Amino acid sequence: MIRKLAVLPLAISIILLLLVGCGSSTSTTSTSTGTGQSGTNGKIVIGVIEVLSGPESYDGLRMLEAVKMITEQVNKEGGLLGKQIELKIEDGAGETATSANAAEKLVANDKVQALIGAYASTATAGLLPIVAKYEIPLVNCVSQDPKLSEQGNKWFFQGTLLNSTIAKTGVPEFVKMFGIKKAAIVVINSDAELEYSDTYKTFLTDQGVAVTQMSFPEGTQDFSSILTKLKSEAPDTLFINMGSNEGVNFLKQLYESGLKARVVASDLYQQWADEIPQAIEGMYFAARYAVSDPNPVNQRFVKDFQARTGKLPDDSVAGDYDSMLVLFDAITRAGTIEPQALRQALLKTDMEITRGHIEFDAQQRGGFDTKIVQFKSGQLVILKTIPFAGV
Amino acid sequence: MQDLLQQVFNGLVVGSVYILMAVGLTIIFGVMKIVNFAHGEFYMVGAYVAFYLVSLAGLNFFVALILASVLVGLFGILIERLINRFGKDMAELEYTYFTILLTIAISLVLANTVNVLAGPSQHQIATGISTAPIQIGPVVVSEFKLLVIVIAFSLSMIFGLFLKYSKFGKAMRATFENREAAASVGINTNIINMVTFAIGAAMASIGGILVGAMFNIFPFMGSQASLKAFAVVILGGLGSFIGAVVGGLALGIIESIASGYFAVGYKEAISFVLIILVLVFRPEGLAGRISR
Repeated sequence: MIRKLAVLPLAISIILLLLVGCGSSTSTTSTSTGTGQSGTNGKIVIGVIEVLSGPESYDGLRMLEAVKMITEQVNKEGGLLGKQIELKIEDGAGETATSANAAEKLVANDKVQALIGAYASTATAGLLPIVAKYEIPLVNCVSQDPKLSEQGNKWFFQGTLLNSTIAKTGVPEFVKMFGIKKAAIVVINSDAELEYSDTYKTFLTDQGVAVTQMSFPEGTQDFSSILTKLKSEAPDTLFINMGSNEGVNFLKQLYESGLKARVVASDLYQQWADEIPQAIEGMYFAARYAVSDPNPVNQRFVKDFQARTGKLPDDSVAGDYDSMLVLFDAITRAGTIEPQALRQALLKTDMEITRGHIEFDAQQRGGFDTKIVQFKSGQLVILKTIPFAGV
Repeated sequence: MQDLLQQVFNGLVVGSVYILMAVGLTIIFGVMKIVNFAHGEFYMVGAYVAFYLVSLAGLNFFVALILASVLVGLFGILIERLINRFGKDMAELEYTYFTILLTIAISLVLANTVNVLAGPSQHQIATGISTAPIQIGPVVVSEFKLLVIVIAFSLSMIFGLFLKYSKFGKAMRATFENREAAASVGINTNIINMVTFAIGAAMASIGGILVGAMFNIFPFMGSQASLKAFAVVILGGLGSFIGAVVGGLALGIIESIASGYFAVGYKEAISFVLIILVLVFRPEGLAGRISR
């Protein structure tokens, strides 16, 4: 009887162990784009923390492709400072603790000399104590929460338009363009996004717009209750602030509900254009990035990314690509991978990236022009560009 | 009033999926006395099978729905045979622990296997059915949402009639009442068990396919579905088919109204508070029976 009992749980435990092993080996990948050695032995080693599991992995996997793409290109041209670049990749899963553990492993065990990552602002927040402890630069051109750079961590460089900046530039522009009288904000229930939406609400209210705000928990799939409430509110403009997966469900259901309202978001997730193009037809964005931006750095990036993956990039993908561009530029100018010198070089960044011109201010925040864009017939059309006037 | 009617309709749609999940779970418990923690994974596996049948094999959605539910039903028989093989000679308490541990393990293995094989990204099952809004009086519906309600109610009704009037259904009810007595009058309880598990798994998979078409599918979608199925079964009464139907509808509508009039974030809290209140005053559930 005991033997009978033991056999089955033992078999299942073995299967589980194998699965965990398979899962781990796909999520912790050491990708050498050089000659296959780990450590700093004749190489520049860069740590990359991406979302490779969970719902946000749709974005994370594509972002990783952009990182690998630019690294391979640079290595083919001889690398940096005469050395090949090696990437050490870890899955942060979009979570604070997992991303922090990933950073600790990359710096302490894998001896990376710089980091990029980790997509969501909450995940990136987990990296900040690690880079401060080990004094390793972290370049992030994706996470948008101003609180990250407000901490004054001198090893963290935030090279994207902050949520607050987008709200400040985008909202008055949309109010002027459309004569908005009544708006609703639909936002995912996380601290950073709620604060972002509060900023939107403040700017809208200051412009004399009547505003209603509705939030929902992460992972929500059924938005029918929110849409019913929105129908009775009848806003002329709907501002949405949510992740790519929630957005797919919400926008699809919005389209199916027949609710007639102008819809505005910050950046387009390519997943929306791939999966629900009909539902986002005519939608507006106060965007950091547009695929149609004629800037030569962007056009080369779009061409190469599309050739590699068959898909168009979006802001997240461009963001990680830009993180690598900024880091590579700093390494080249510093002439060394020594952290203090690299940090000084990063402070003096003055270059073109896919999203425009970037320089870092005293708080190590960068920014570029806001693009007012509309999704029309499968294309992102730039209606107007608002020059960056500081954070 | 218009809003309330719309929220009730929204709740009917969600409740329909809950019914499919809960009926399967409750009959497995009722007939086999198994608390099936892998039930959510039948829902998930069904959704993935249908997704690949539509997207890779190019099958029509309805053909994929039927084929996927049959395949998952057969998979359910496999699980039942596994339980029977190792658990049939166990004492009652030992059997309970064994089935709980086994179904939890199966749940973990299935979810992680799908995660590794299919990847973590979410997908949606294409149906070819219009999702354009249709105004019926004060309520906005869609063809697909109406279809979800029709499928859930039809299957529940067919199964209810099958249970009540068919010879096999009577045999199932007899096994549910008293397994030993049923066996002693010549009912093949092995066959009853297999068919029960197959039906339960198939119904859960249909729920998953409908959700996958309305929203999306991902490897760990089963865990949330399991939780809701258990909530409905407890609300309706463990082992009660009528309870599963009433409970499913009640939970769907309560959640929808709670989301509409309070906040989406509170809907789970409100639903579970109500379930607790029902259990305080009626521990056997809405339609359950008190065990002697």
